[in-house]
Amino acid sequence: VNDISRRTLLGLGLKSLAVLGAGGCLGRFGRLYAAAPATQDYKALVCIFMMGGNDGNNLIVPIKTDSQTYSDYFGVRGATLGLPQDKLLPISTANGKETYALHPNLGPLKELYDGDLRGKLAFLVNVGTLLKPITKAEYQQGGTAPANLFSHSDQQQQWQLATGPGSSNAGWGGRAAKIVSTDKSAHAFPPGISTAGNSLFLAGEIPHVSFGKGGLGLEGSNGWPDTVAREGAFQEIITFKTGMSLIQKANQVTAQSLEAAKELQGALSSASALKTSFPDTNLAQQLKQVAQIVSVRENLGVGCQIFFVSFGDFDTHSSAVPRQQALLTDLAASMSAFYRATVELGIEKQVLTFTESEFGRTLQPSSGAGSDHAWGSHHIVMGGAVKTADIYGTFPLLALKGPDDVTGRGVWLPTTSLDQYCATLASWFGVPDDSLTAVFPNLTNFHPRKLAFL
Amino acid sequence: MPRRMLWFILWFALLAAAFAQQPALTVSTLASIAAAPVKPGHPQMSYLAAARFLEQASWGPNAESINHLQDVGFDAWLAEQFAAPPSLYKDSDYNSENLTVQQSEFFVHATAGLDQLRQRMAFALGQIAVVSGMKTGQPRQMVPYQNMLLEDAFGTYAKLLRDVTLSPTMGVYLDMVNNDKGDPALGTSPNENYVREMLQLFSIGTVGLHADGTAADRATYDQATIIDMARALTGWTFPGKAISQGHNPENFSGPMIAVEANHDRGKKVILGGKLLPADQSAEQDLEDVLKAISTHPNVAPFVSLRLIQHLVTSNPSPAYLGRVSKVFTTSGGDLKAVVTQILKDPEARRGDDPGAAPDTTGGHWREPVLFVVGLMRNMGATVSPNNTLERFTAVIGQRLFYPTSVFNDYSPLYHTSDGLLAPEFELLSSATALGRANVVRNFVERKFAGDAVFDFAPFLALAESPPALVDAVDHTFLYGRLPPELKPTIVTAISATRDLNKRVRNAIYLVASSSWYQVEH
Repeated sequence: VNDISRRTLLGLGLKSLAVLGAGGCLGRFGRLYAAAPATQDYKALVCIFMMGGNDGNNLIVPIKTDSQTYSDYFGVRGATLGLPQDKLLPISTANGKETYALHPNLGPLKELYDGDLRGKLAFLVNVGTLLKPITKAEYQQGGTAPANLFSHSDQQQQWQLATGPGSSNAGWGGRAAKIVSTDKSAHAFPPGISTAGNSLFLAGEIPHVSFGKGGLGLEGSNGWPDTVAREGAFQEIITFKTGMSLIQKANQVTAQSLEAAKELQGALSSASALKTSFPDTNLAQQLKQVAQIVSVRENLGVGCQIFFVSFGDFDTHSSAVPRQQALLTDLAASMSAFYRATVELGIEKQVLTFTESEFGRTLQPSSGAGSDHAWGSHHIVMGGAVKTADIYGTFPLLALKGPDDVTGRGVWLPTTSLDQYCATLASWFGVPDDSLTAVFPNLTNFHPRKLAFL
Repeated sequence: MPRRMLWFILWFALLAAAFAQQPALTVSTLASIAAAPVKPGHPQMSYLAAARFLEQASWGPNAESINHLQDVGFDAWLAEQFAAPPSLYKDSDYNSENLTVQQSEFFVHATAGLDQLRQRMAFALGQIAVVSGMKTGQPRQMVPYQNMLLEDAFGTYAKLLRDVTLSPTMGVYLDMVNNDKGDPALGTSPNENYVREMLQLFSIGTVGLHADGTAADRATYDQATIIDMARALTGWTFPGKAISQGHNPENFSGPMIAVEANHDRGKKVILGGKLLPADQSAEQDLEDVLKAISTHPNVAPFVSLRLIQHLVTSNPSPAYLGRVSKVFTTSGGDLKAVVTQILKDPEARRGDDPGAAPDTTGGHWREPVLFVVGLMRNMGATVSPNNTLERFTAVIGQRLFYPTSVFNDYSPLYHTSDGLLAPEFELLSSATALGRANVVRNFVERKFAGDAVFDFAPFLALAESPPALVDAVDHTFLYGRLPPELKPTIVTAISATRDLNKRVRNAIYLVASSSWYQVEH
């Protein structure tokens, strides 16, 4: 069942790529230009959002650490959700003192951690939404914690907005890009780009567009006078001031789309095709689209770009092991291809990719061989800018009702806040230190404000 | 051969093909309707008022339905709709692995079915209590669920919630089926998925609400409540023979049944702090849970807001929502009474009078399914039984029967950057904005790849005079509300060719792709 649905979905997802790919085809007609050299200060941040709440407990497993071993993990997860030790992919912390292991299907990411492409990957453990530091006892007595912790929509929103006292209701990606983006002119190509439809992450502060299903641009303008006139009238109609809010808003989105699509089509028409091959999955094709847009950054005249990519259903309440296995296989292969594409473009140090997901999942299995909504979870940062391949943060103690478990089902109180994690990324992107709390208002409550992975 | 010449030849070939397949339809009485916007039988109901009402209460007006509504009036029309038998999905192809047959059926029902309001209600309710073909994508799963929504569309909301809760399709989608009490040997706990999403998305939401929908500053439940309510809903399996332990094999025909041995018999504290004593049966616990939910004060404003948004406007005033919410409460959640208030409320009817000041924040953007069906109904189209129209909604962001998650393809709480609620706008991105114009182009130039059957003749008859043609298109799609400032723009554009077919197509394209049509208002 799922397989067929997936394939149908992919078929749709790829539609627009065919259009984007046309840039490469046009190149064959003699407009092939060598890839423009990267501007020294260009930077791109790419957010991969794992929708549904990824089960971090099966992303990285402790094997032998200062505080616990594999048997602590398997003792709770059991055969229902526990991954067999001999299938896991062992990795060490940078100091060589502790051993963890990656999910068996993350081979391409292990290669970026300690394999042929080593040193390009960092793991951030037990990251979650927090308003300020809080102890387990304080949480259980009703202390200050984010609202609706276990609700998909609320936590997706908080991961994308990082709102706090005094902040706008814009996405943190948009807030960061507004500070970093040097080209403030109204006609600049929008710095925020989503390949996954409208995203809260980019909304609010900056022009942002999304490319995906549905093709690029208006079809049917073939140069005949009637189609030229038709397109002209289409433009006039969407710029007519109406006084009706929703009509006005729809016009605004349409007008911006038309402009951005034309500009992007123009930029792509002189681009050479990427040589790096991407898997034929929804996520990989989104990342390919990102790589193609990054490859024409000079033509677009942008100094920075921020991307939002999402996939999943990571909401594995049942049949969790096979479902997550498929998703992580896709994640690893797609991220690896994307890294290689940035190497091909010579900008692997200027493009940083990171994961988000609304929450982790209970360590304790649920009826139906799945797990339920939890809190802190583990994340991945990838790029040439990663300082040292290592596991950053404090790993939770995998014990039900243990010191890190706030509900008794293995729900981890985060030891690194979302704000610390994302402020580190935003700082690398170019947000000055004295502006970080403007982007992440809750950051004032945490120390250090930036983490060591970049 | 020059490219232009090639286009020319191609164009002619297409045109010839289009004409060859045009069946001899009776030409509608467009011109006469245009001349007589007010019918003598119901002088109080204008053509505009009837058309607006039918945008809200049906899959869109067509000449016939406008005519009929003007004849009988709102009340008689509603009575007819409440009595109309549901257009049920056939129980064929049960073992198919996809829903293409049901998608085709949907478009036949939506364009031609007489139970228009019931279909709109079922569609709206299915976007509140969501299941998705992503997980329940076999007809044997989806057909009973969709038929249940159609059957329950005019019942009480409490009845719908019970049927949804015990639906094995929902049971599979949100893991309530075979959700057993915690097993110490396996180290498992009851699955929290169904009860959490049912509370958050199907009934009350996470925040306390006043009757007019404004938020009270309190949470409706906490994690401990979720854990206990998940325990209260343990022990249900697929319908079939009564069993004392284990699970029944997959079966989607009928409600789930209880297996007491799998039910957690400990005491629980559920919504509203109500204590369920130990040793209650699965049925007793279920009754108590459903009662606690359907009597919660949030249900009326929560459900009313969503139904108003789907049918009439994204941003109802607190007063409008309050009036609907009150009917919800006093009628015991009777959806007939609720939808009657929604449709007849002065706020919904305000735009019927072209002289009244417009509700500048009113209306709602047509979601893709409503958009594609509405286009066809405005043109009086019929569709073939084995149509593949679903691809035209999918390409602009809505895969019929396959929403991306239980949160539906768009959120009732999505708002624009100006803070206006605009749920469907979550689907309006740069990718889909132009995609919608491209869908209209396919409609006028290819008739949805031949799946929509309609006749341009009434428009062709007027095409020698571009102003008359634009008036007719305005009349058909906007009921005469095209801003006068835009008329010369369209007249000039369509006058760029002497080809009357192109004039007609371009005029419809420009009006139907405009935000004036895309936003029902």
